[in-house]
Amino acid sequence: MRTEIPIQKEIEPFVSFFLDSRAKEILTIEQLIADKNYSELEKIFHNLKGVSKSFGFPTLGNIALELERACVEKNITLAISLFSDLKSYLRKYSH
Amino acid sequence: METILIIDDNIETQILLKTILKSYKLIVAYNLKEAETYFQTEKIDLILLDLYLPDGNGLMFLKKLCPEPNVPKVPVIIISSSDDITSKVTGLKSGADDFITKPFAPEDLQARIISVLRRGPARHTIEFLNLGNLVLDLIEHQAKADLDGKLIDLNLTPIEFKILLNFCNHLGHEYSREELKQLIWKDTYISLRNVDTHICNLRKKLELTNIDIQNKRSRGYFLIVNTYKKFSSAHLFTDSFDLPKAKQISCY
Repeated sequence: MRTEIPIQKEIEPFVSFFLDSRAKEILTIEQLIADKNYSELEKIFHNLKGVSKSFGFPTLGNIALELERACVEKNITLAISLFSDLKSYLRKYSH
Repeated sequence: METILIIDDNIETQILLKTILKSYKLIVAYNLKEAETYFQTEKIDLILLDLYLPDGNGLMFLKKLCPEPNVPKVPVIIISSSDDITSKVTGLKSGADDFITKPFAPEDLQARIISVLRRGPARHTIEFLNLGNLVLDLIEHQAKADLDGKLIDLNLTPIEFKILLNFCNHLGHEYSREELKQLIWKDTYISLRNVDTHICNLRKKLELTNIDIQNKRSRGYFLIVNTYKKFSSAHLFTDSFDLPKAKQISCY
């Protein structure tokens, strides 16, 4: 499974699980953005920010960090734009 | 093998921790309720705690963990995606032994766990004991008088500090000279008159406080807090005190 940066060998078997989880999460995020549910969005991006780099996707972690901030500021325009970046990034690594 | 309780609802974090910490027995709790159950039923050597959990903040669990003073506490490392200084300071002030920000390097986490486990269970020590305007520094073994917020060292000898601490810890207890001799000097020979001399010196040094050591004939010495005795830093420059008649307060 391709990652952005090399990761620990023991983590490699879990990369596909990580990416599958993100693919499922996309639908949830879309709904939460439509509902402007900032607190739930914040939780999702907060978690994503913390684990993405360890699974080999540091840029995803950075996008999640910016998305978390956008949700704290309740900036829906920025959140939608960043979410678009997140989806594009994930498409590059989807199998 | 040490047992680590992981309290984190994030599945990816759990995968990472299980992969990195293979040499430990791991128990995973998804929320605070589960964590409390495991904590009561399992022997836990270390806790890895996330702050944002489905049924509350990890700090709530941390506060419950902090036991009575001087009782060993299971060490806790907070693992959180929050990297702001406020979260770190709050976590550490609440009783956590360390704080690691996600994402973390596996080697960093392993080293910190070894370090915290090596220190063993922490004890929440009492640093100060206050009685009236007397402040006992239990770390430095110093007694001070609080005069309008200004702390004046009473220059107690180690023996005097020990006697005073004993009185403070057992307020209301009447100590006979023999009892004090046994408690403070144990098997070292000292005459009963010498015990009186130490008490006499201690009384003099306590003059800047509203603590008095009194004695009842044929019963012994005891400590009282004299709430009518008020001091300010102005007393530092006077040779004698003109005080209102003391009202003795029972110190039970």
